[in-house]
Amino acid sequence: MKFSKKFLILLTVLISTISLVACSGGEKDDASSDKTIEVVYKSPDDSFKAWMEEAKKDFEESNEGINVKITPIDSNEGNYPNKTILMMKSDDTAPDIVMEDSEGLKADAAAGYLEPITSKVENWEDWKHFYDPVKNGVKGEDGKTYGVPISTDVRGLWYNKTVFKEAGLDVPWNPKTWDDVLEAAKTIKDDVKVPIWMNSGKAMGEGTTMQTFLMLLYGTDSKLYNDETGKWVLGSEGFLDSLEFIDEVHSNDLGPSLSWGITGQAGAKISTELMPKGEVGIALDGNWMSGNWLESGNSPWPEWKENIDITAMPTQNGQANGKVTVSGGWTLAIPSKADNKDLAWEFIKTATSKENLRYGTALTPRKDIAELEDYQQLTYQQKITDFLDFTHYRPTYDSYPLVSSNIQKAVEAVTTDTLSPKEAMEQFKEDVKRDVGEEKVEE
Amino acid sequence: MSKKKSLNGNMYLKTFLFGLPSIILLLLFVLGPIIMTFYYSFTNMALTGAAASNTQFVGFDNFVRMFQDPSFKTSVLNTIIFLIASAVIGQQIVGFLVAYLMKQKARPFRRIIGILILAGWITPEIVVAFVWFAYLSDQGTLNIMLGFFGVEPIAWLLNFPLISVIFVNIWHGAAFSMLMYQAALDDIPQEVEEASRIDGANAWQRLWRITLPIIKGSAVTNMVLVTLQTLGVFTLIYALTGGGPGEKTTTLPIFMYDQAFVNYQLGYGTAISLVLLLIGITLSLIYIRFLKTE
Repeated sequence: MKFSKKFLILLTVLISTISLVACSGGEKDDASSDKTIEVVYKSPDDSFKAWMEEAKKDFEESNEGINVKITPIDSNEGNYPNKTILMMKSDDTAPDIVMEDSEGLKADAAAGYLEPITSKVENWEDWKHFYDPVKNGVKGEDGKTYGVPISTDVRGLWYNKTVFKEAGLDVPWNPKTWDDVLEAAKTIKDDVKVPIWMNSGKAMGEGTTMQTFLMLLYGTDSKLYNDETGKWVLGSEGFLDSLEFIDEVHSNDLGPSLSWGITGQAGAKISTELMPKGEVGIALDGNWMSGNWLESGNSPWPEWKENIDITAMPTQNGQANGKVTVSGGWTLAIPSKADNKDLAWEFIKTATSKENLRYGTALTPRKDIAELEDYQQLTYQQKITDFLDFTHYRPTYDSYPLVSSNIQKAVEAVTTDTLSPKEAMEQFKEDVKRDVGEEKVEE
Repeated sequence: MSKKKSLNGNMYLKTFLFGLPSIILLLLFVLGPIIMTFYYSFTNMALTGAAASNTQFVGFDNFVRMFQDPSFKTSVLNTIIFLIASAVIGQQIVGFLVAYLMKQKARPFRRIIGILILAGWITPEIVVAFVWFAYLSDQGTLNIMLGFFGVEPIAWLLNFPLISVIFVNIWHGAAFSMLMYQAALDDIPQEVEEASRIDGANAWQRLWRITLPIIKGSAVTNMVLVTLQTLGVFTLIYALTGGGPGEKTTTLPIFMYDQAFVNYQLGYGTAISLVLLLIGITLSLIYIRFLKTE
């Protein structure tokens, strides 16, 4: 009797332990999942969604029994990358196709999250229609191709023609120097809530680095990265001047109220609420901004063309060719842990074909689409495409995210008047030295 | 005698066996992650980039970097201020005062006040953050009310960020302390208080000499719980200020998140979380020590 009691106890324990172990083994999806390919994208983005729905229809018609699932990832610019990285890290959650910012592509490729598609694109006859600089932007540090570009972009100065005219400023507006920009903002200071909008907080993530800081820095004689030595340039004159421009904007109250102006919601508030109300004079932002005001956009505004125009950001004192812009863009990439890589590739080809690739007002990465009449008829599209002549691409190497987030920190510190431009630059120097290592920087 | 002994031994075995599943669970889900954290904090683990696929042991690099990082010092300082002001002083005192003042008051009164204060506590942190964001914003309720007295709108979260989040956290967490103290105060035998009253002790003396010493145990337990809870506050601050403006409200959890998920430095982030864990353990030990010696 005694023995059997012990035995029973042992059995209970064994069963409970075994069931514990069983808990950890997740079951693989059933076979039917082979017929679904999942695309994840940064939401809200109605243009992307509308385009994907079209591509899905097209693809599902010609490939019977295959479903395309379009999954929105609700997030802001700052936390989209890590949400998708966490998905791509696991076999269970990796989507088949990920909408990937060209900014993070090199790092994600180096981390092994993305599948190289070099041989696939080389055997694809459409590949020759893509712009070469854009194709270079989707290569990893190993020289392999990791994504198909779906858009490229530029940044410039959107401005309110109505406000400008009423204030007696020239329309069309062609600022030649930074001072021209500041002067215009000062002139309209009392007419609008936000004389000049620039992304200026850590919460806007890369937007602050690219739309604001690099647009300024690349208009000076200084660089962020020295290609010859392969080192980050710290403490340049242009760096300080760029921070001083930002300081000038905020110390003269030319920017938005900081209580919302440095939060993650600021960008949306500017483009979907304040600009249609005519409360923003100038906005240093991406060419995609007008996508919000289309009928299919987040905040339709039929009269926007009569009110808003875009002009190129001038260099600091009109040096070089007088204008500056920075380009990035989005891609479709296949995670290395995707279940259906071949189907995913087939879908990407369909979605990015000459007939299908219609991604809102985004600049197209395909030359043959750029020549189409309906593309050229998009408002200001020709003007904006011309910006590509003087554009800059970012040094998106491995340590770029660290440098970029320290730039954001410096910009926010100057914006909120926590540090003077000089102090913020000193702090930036110390931070980058510590974060990326002394051997990777130069002064 | 020997039979009893063997029975005892048998009992121990049984106890152990029955406890085994929960021991395994604890090891797996509590101790496991702590050990992993400890290990990762000595690596260059990253969320993306080459270090993500090729994680290496880097010794004390993360800790050296941390102690050279002025942002780390700022976050430690902010964490301490936040902890002392909102948890140790704010929640404890507000919680105790409410409980003490409500003691032996009419039942409906206790009910209404209790429910009102509890409402703050049961509201999820993210909702609390949005409510207060609206309340404190430029055209928020607070500024409109102050406007009646001719006060110009104040950008609270911008000009008084740390004070604002401390205040919000007191509002959110005071109910917990109130509940703890209510239970403790209810346990004080009536006779003791009556006796002291007959002996001529005034209200202040009764509070200081009778009430507080009796509830000291509960106070310390409450202190440990509230401290650990406050050390980990993330959502509230992140949603209200994102750690800003600048680094004015960056506490250790926010700093850790920024390093791990904005800069993608998971190894560095885990090293910071380890420090947070050590601070939590140290403070708890100090409180418990305090309880024993007195």
